[in-house]
Amino acid sequence: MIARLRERLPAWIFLFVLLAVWEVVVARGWIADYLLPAPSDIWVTAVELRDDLQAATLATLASILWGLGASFAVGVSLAIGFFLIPVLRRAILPFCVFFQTVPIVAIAPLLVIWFGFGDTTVRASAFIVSLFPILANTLTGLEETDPLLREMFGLYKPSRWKTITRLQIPSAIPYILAGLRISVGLATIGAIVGEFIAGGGLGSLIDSARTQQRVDLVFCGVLASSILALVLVLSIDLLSRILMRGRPYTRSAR
Amino acid sequence: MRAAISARGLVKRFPGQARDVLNGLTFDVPRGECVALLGPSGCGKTTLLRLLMGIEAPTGGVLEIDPELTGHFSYVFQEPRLVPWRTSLENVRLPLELSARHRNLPDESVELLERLGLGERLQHFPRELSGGMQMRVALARALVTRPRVLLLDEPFAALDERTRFRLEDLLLELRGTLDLQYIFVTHSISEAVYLGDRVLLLDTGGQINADERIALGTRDQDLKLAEPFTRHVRAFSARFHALELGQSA
Repeated sequence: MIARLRERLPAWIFLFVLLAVWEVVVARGWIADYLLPAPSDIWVTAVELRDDLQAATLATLASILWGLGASFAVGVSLAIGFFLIPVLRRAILPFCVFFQTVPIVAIAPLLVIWFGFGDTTVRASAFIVSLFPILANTLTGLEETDPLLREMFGLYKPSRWKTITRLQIPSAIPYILAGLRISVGLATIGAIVGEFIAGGGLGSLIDSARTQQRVDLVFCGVLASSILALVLVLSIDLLSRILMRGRPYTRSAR
Repeated sequence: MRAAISARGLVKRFPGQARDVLNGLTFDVPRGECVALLGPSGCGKTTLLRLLMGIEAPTGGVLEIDPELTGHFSYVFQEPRLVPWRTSLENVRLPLELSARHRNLPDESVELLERLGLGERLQHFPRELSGGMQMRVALARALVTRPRVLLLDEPFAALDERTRFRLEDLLLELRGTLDLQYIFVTHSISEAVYLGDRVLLLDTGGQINADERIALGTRDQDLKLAEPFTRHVRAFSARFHALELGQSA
């Protein structure tokens, strides 16, 4: 406990110093508060508009969870499909890789044209950016099963389905969780970019605050989205820990 | 006596390798006989065991298995190879879940684990078990399919001497009670003589020709019965070291 505190202490000291310097710099007027509001002003705004912030955060959270859930379902299913049918993988995976390289900001206007303004576009945006890490990680996990365990399974001549469900998917679980951890951050980005264009949630709040020159509110939105992403990443870590405590899923038998 | 296994001119060469791992191996294993495969590293002991199990296919020669025994072989690897996310009990049950042939066999996993002294560890994961316990789970997994022939590849090599002795005695006991014959690979001369009815001594391929290699094995087959135990160990030891030095025994 003390060792943990000691490890984290420098980060807390740095944060405290940063906030103090920031406060002093703005209070002395070295930087105009319409460009950089003081931390105390941001705090006051956050308390004042807590209901709006809370509603926007929950809306964004819902879109992230929708996008992430869809990515998980589609990514894992596609990975299993690619793994089972190599020709499918050769046909589709290159396009998935290409699709992954296109920035979501470039795709978002298309989504608005297809799905209109509102939640569907935001969810689709979160889905698109968070799909690939889950797909790629699951595929890697399925392919990298311990060869010693594969050989042991082979002794009993199991069906392909049994090998997948009893060996390959369980040994891919750590990879899937790692993919989920990457995707949760990306889904947050995707949702907020989607909200910038299609409206709703923190993205919309930040955008409208920008048009009103409410830099303090922009900071509140940014802070809320950061905390949201952090909480989601920690939730995935917690889920992984609970899952691993129940059953030690690892790739190797050794 | 009827042969459980009959090999004639058995050859195995792996792709890309310059020499045969097994070069014209000929031997018979009668029903009920337990055989130790002994020889220096790289002489093809494990390869022979894998051919018997059907994990590898021979490059040449004929390998005949008594039709009554076909499908009644079980294999214990050098490492336990337990599935890390399955408990001891689930690991032992695995063959019954995977194999269509064994699906309808009665599940004796709990009894087997209890018999092997793991009754208190049914719900433990492999990482919570010692090396000896893991090996016993692997042995139980091999026995749950009720095999008639058990193939073991240096199953006790990684264990401490005390655990090894206990598991060797356990194997002898299982042989008596389960109507089991086994063929096992070992580097331990004393283990070979203690557990085997017969010891097949193999040399490193290419140094001694195949006929002589098998002649070595067949000459040795009754040594254990004919002479006191300690003399066997010494006799095998001398031959084994001579082979390792690349000299003819």
